[in-house]
Amino acid sequence: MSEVPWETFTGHPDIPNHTGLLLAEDEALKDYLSGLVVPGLNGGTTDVDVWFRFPEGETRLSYPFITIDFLGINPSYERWTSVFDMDPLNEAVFRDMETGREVRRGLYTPSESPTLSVSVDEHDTGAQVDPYLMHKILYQVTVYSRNALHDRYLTSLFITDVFPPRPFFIPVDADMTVRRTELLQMDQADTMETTDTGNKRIFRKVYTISMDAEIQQSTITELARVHRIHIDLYSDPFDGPHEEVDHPSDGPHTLAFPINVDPPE
Amino acid sequence: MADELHVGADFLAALRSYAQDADDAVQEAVSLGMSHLANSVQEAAARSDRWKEAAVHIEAWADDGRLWLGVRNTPSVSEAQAAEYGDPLHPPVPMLRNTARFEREANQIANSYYDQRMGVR
Repeated sequence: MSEVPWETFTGHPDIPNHTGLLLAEDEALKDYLSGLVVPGLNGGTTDVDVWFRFPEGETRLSYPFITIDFLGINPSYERWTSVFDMDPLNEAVFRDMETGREVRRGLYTPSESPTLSVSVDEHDTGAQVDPYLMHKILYQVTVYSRNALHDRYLTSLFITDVFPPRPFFIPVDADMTVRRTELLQMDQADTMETTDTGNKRIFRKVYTISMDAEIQQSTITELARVHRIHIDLYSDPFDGPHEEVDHPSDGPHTLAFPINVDPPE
Repeated sequence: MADELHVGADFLAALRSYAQDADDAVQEAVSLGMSHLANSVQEAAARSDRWKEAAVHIEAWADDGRLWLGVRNTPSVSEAQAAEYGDPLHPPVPMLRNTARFEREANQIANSYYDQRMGVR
């Protein structure tokens, strides 16, 4: 069986910059959950660390802490539209998050960049972009506590503010979008941990959330405006050699003239 | 005297009969769909090392006007919970939360059954 070498990818995940599908969303969710604190039992506050999956054995655990598990990604078919070309200059409106004022119009590259990977100029260059396909990323966020008060404190915060009953929005720095996210389910999974000194309670609250993400359907095709028409004319019959495909415009058989594009009014 | 619409008792009886048939067809279609959903999730769970003991207890049922999929009233509940949500030693295996594909299939089966039963084109 012959191997087909991968030369062109639609997605471009970048580990150092945390861009690309899932890398960007993971980073965004971790940032969203970071910074929570709980009142210390003896005064002061205790930071709540955030981990991807349960920390490894050699990591010293500091309760309470939060873990993020990726559960899956499902297409949101009900939001897929019929095939049509998107307008790379006007399809989306980008607004300043603080003032709400329109900053620019155009398209973004999902999970990678707030702009397209090809330059689009109204007079000179364009892009053919197939509609992005909406998906839902499923995450499980688990909050671990050793103390009942911390457990209730964090559960209260999570239900009212972090993952409220209404849809909420998580900002993604990679493409400067805010993603609609919903709390699908909340479960309690309190358990016990057996240690050398006996059994210890571990309070565990599990939140299942769904975050929107768009995926490019295909690579973006860069289009260049035609500036010149070049026609080769040969008499019939003609036995001589035809010009090369990419030959100068001043050949004996060539008709060539520029195309001028009128500026918009 | 205003015009009135008169319908025979036969017409009303036929309408009631059709409505009853439609109601029965919906119940049967939903039952088929739920059965497919539960069986599909069971088969998928049985292939997982973490779920294989509890997989046989996965079922779908209706309660309080809602449809549910899960494990209930068996000694396997705690095992199913540990498999579904994970623990410090094992990552979660979200069988019950990742059923979108099976739900679409169940929906298609239910709709096809209803259309065929009621002669809908």
